[in-house]
Amino acid sequence: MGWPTTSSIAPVNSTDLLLIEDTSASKSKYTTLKDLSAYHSILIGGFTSTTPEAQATAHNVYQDVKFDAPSVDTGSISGISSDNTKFILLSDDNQDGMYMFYSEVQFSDAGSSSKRVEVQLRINGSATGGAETAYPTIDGGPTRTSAVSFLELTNNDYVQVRVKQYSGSAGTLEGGTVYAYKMGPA
Amino acid sequence: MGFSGFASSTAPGNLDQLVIEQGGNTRYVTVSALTEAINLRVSLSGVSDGTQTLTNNTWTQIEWKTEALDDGYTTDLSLAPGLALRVDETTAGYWFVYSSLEFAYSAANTTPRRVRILKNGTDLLSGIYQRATSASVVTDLAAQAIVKLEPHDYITVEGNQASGGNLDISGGFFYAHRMAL
Repeated sequence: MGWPTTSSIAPVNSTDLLLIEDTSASKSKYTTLKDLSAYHSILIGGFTSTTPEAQATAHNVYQDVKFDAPSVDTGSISGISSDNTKFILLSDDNQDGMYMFYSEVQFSDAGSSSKRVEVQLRINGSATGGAETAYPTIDGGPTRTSAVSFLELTNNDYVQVRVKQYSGSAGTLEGGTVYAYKMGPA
Repeated sequence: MGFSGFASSTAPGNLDQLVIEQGGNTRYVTVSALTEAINLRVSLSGVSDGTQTLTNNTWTQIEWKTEALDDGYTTDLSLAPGLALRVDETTAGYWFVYSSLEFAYSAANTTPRRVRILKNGTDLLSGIYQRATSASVVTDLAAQAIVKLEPHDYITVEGNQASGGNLDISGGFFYAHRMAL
């Protein structure tokens, strides 16, 4: 690693302390480098075919994907709605900012070689432009595709993953994941 | 947000220093050096011998050929062929990992092409499974994830195709970026 020769400290360690000034209290304080770097909060949620159970998808109908609560959240910034479809930016901590969201979803094979599937990212119920369609999809196996978007979020905004499959018959969501990364303040 | 949002009497400058307490000792470090120390980067390119042949419908670990960047000593291809990323006590943390693979074209253009990223050989972090683009054009697929890596955790990339016979990976790319400690 290209650590500068002008520095007298060893490569950074998560237990190192950084001196900061709390302007609201006019005090100098220390924070750990780990806490500082984790301020760029990460949350990761996901579901598998068993947790929660696989989700049915009707032909040509948009539906919001259900996820588990985030399994990693370095800043305790996120909540998930009671129906498990909305990731919500909580208002008890100032986490407004720019986020990158990414999601991928695995669709079962529906037996048609001409089907298509679509994954959308949505903010407060509206499409964000983060959408991807796989067409034609795999005949004889699952198709897994993704969507990514940069979103500016403020308190209580929520993000959903919406999908649709166009196979001509009912299908199943076999798994998927979603993660978000705070890129910086608003 | 501009720099004016800070309660600072100084203009932005790359020579600014931060006060660090390390092991009971007070040290100083430039902002840019601290940022570089936290945000480690790794990139790999190519596959072994320019191509790597995948047998039909078999997940195969990608063997990377060239290490283009590694500023955290997180990967050593000569010691651990096939590992895209491995972390230790000083490089553990939250990592963004990304890989794309280029599949050679095949007449079996309605059959699957797949890429996936695994942690410690078993945990699926990301996967993209789609049909080939066409019978005369290569197919590129990319997967990505954010993952928390503990010391000695490692990342591998695997490819899979079901064309009915052997098919080459004609190129590939991997990069990773530590986002937080």
